[in-house]
Amino acid sequence: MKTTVIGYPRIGSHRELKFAEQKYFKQTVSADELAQTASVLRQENRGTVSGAGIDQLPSNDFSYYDTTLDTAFLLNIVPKRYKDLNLSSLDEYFAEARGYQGDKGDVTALSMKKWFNTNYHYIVPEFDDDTDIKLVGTKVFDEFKEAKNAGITTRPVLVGPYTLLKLSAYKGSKRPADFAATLVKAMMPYSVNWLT
Amino acid sequence: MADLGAEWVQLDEPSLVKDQSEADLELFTDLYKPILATKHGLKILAQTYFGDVRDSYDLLTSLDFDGLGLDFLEGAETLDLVKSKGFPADKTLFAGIINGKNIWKANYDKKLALIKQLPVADDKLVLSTSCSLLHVPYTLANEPQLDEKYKRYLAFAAEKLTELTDLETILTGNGDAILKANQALFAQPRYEENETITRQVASLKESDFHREPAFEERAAIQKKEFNLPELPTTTIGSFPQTREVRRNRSKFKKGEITKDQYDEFNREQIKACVEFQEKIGLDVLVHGEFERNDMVEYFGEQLEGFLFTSNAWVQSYGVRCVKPPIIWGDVARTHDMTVKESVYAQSLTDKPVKGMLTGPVTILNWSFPREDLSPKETTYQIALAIQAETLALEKNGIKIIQIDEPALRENLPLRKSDWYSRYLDWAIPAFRLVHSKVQPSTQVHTHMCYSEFGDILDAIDAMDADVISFEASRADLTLLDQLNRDHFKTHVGPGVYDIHSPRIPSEKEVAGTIEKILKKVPLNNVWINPDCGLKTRGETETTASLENVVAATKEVRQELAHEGR
Repeated sequence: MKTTVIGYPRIGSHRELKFAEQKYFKQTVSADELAQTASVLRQENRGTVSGAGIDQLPSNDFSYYDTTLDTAFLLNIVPKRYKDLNLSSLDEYFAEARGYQGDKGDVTALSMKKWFNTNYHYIVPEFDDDTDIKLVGTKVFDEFKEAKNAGITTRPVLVGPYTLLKLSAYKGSKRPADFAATLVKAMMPYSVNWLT
Repeated sequence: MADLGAEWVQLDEPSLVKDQSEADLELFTDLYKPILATKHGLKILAQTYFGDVRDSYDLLTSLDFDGLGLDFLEGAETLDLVKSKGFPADKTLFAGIINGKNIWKANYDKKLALIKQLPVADDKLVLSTSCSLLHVPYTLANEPQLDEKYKRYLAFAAEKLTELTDLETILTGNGDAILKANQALFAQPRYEENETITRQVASLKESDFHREPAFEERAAIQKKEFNLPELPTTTIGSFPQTREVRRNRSKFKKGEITKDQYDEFNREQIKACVEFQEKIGLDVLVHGEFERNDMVEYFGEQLEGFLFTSNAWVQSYGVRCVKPPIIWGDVARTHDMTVKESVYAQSLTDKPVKGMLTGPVTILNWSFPREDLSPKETTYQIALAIQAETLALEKNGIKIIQIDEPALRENLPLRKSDWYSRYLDWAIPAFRLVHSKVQPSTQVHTHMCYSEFGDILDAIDAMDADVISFEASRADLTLLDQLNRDHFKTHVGPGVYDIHSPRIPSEKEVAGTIEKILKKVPLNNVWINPDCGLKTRGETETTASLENVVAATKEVRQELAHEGR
């Protein structure tokens, strides 16, 4: 018999992530400093969970904003209007989450919905007929490696392909099933490369 | 990514706990067959939560997953499924037995009884949480002011980890003392019953849930009473909680200033807020809610029966957090909670000021609920408390009362067949109970946010409010078509801009949105407002946005007059 948890809170036991992001949005801390805060929070969580004697730890349950958005972002499911802003990857991610109004353009945020029957909200990924699903991100791997370097083999977590398709919005003529083959293809190298 | 050396990967598939069609299951199969055919030794866990997988259990067990994560708490049929259909011997069961959504300490005897019924070998069993612990606060260690007599019944994320390892210890035969301590805790009553309130709930009659006269008649009376312009403008209730507002509260909580000083500061804020709203030309005003930290916690702190915490934050959206109160015992109202602020704000202006209350369903849904009393009974207790507050506001001259139910949609059961029988059949009456006794001329507003409720519009109409505002701007106003289709009766304020983003909508943009609304909803039924409260926004963007909203409304009114509409 083993023990595990499906995911752990990520905001920080004193909401450190919230305060760090607010500072980042006001440009009083850099992307690197924000990343450093996030890394410390993940480290603290690993310490708490493994310290309590839990056998298997998840990873990639951390997020700057939302894990559904993270999975979409990892797989290049990013509408053109955000890419056209030509922002850094992190700022493009935040533009999807919060909207962007600045010298690079003016776009509203992606839609946000209640996560099932909870008071948590997820960002609704948006597909259109030009959506080119492919593995472009590294977050899930980076966070696995970070834990591995700290001596813990974690169980990476992603929103599964089915739930991802079911929760997304479709702006073009293509339907969820039309994306199934490319989505599988994008997720396969990930599972293949993971271990071999 | 080669050589990373992961053993398991967890793919979250909570969508499976909703009703599944044949086409859904086909899509699931098409997605997973190729993935599971190329695992290369990696183990794949299909993780579900928030319910049971009755439609897909056969499929899940037949596909080549290495582990299945099932929710034994919210999943009403999960245990029956694994017992009656069995669990494949080659798969690992990740059994969700510790509640990831609520904060009560687990009763170990009950958990052990559950675990013993699981038809899996010891080495194929992983004890887990029912969902991610994202939905509970970090740790009781952050609550030094909370008395031990309460804390011993509670478990936040960190304490739930211990519960999992405690159960493992007991099951491996080394946890007698742990089990005995847990049994001793549950052998005694947790709280003292409030017999007055339980009797009051038990004696509720059908007529307690119906407001007279009917909607149309009230609408005519209220039109005369308020004499508002076409497309009346208002806000949802809260104004920006500036640094100074938060500092004032924190100083008061630390005892650095007196209650009078605290109140006086808030009165100044209310005054400035009312002046601001008059200046920019809004029609129905609010007091701004500077005295409220959170729309549920504020009431929880004043009602009997709630426990409140200092640092028990839970993420709501982005990095925004809420601090849900804990419904500890029977809920009762002992004093006015909002009257003073509303009456003061109303004394400053001839325009109507809305009284602002949080509805009973939202208070339930945004609290950690009891597990020893049904949600229906708990909600009726809260509804009676809010009803008393509603009547107190009315008695003190407040003519428009908004009873917010932003969270009404979110606890809708995930399976359609359960919507009415397990939820709406008591949730909607609970709202009606709150306002059933007010005068016909008193206008009752409600607000709902981030909700897809196109599919329960009849139930929303049955709340029998006079006006409802809701979030629609981030959903491209698609709800308008549904309102139109269903001949929605209640007057509506579909938010004209998204307050969850710091972006300022231009006057032209807002005017365009109003025009879109008017294409779908009769002019006389439309209100103009932002899509949610403004507390999370800065003052600068709020001022600019509201000015644009009022200007856009005036522009549209002029056009309407010009066109003779």
